[in-house]
Amino acid sequence: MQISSQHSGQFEAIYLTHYSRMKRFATEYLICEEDAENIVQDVFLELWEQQFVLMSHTRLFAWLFTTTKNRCLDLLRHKTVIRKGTERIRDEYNVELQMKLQSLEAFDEKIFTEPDIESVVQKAIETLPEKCREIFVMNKIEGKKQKAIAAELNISLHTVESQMAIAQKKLKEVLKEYIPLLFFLLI
Amino acid sequence: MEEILSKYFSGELNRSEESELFRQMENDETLRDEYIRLQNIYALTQLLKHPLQEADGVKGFNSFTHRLKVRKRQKIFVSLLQYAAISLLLIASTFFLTRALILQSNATAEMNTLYVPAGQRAQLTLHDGTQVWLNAHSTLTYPARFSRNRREVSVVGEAYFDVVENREKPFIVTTQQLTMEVLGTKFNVFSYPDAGYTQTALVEGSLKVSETGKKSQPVLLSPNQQVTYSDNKIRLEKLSNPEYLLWRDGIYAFENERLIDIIEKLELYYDITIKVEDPEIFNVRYTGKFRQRDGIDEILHILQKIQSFSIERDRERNLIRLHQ
Repeated sequence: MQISSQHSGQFEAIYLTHYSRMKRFATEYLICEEDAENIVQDVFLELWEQQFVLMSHTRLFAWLFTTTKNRCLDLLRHKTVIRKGTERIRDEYNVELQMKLQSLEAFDEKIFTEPDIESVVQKAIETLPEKCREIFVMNKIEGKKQKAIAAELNISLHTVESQMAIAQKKLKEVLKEYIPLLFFLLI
Repeated sequence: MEEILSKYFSGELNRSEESELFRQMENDETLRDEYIRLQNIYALTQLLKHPLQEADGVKGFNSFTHRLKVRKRQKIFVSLLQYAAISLLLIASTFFLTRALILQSNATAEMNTLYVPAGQRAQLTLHDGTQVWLNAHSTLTYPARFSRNRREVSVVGEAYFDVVENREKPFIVTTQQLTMEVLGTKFNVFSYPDAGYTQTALVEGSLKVSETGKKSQPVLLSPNQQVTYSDNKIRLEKLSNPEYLLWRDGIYAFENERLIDIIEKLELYYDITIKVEDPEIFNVRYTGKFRQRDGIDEILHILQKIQSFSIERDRERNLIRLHQ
């Protein structure tokens, strides 16, 4: 566990660059933010102990997100197994859990090894009209409630909702090559 | 469909709307597919860098360093536990080993007894290197391992000691009447119960003699002195006959001793009763040596040549009668 202060500084920089994104990514699937935080901290603990800090940015990025994905999968599978016993108690929650698990299983982790995946995402979001982008970032990245966004931007809740629907449509289009269609193509 | 999923992924559905969505999803494959695609697109957008992430990262990093410390402590604790386990093992093994040794030494504190039958003699070396010669019809009781601060043996009969010097552990010989204490020396102990007296003679070193079980002033012996105890009296005198100690080599030497006293000693050495009908004729003094291995009969035959007497042997009662 002996890490020189130089490496320690490097580690902190890596942490600050990736932590928030990894946590948000994990939260997308885990529903519970606390679970997501625990998983991400564990991933960094593993990084710290294995002293992978000297990897290239692309490899490091891929390792961090792939490890996060795999740990989320483990947790979701574990939860669905536990859920089986209490199946009928909250059926909808159970379905949601199943859907999250299926989604993450379908998530192609090759995306993480694409060298320019960060700029792909960046560009995809930049394709959104300015107002739409602003609302999307506030809602999905900053985690603000639509009501709060409406108040902050002095617009109606309905506008926020429709801008979010536009954003969804646009992003689906722009990022479609990264998210393979599963069972059949939608008309 | 798009709108409800959009609201769902924005976290804007209330619980009943959400329940409704998932109930619907159970029977709608298209909806499930759309859910999965959108879910993964939203997840992908989370790879976006954002100015706010720095502050979130700092918060996370603080909690991370805390976790690291806890983990380190746990690791130290685990390694401490390992050390503790090893220590415990060492302590336990030492404990059981020591206990086993103590039990063993307790077991050996049970005295050993060496009995030399009549007509024979023996020599042995004790645990501390002290050599002991035992005369015929004598018993030595000694521990296989001496206690920490003293070396104690007891004698019934006759014994010669060549004690290895150890100033921290006095060597103590107990007889019925006398107790001898030395640090390192050579001395003889004569203490046959039937003899009517106890005697100790010092050859080398110094010897402290006291009455057994009494706190009387001990008598200090110099080399070539002997102490005789009889009729509750202690008599210190010059060693009468140094050759007498030849018994160790199986030679019984007498010097100017009355025949009756010689016979008395032979009784002790050969554990036999010799009855003298007319003690008067045995009052004559003699000087001479006998070999132990010659046996009592041969010795009496030799004596017969000097003093005429007839020998009547009663083997059943282990008795010899001597008469005119």
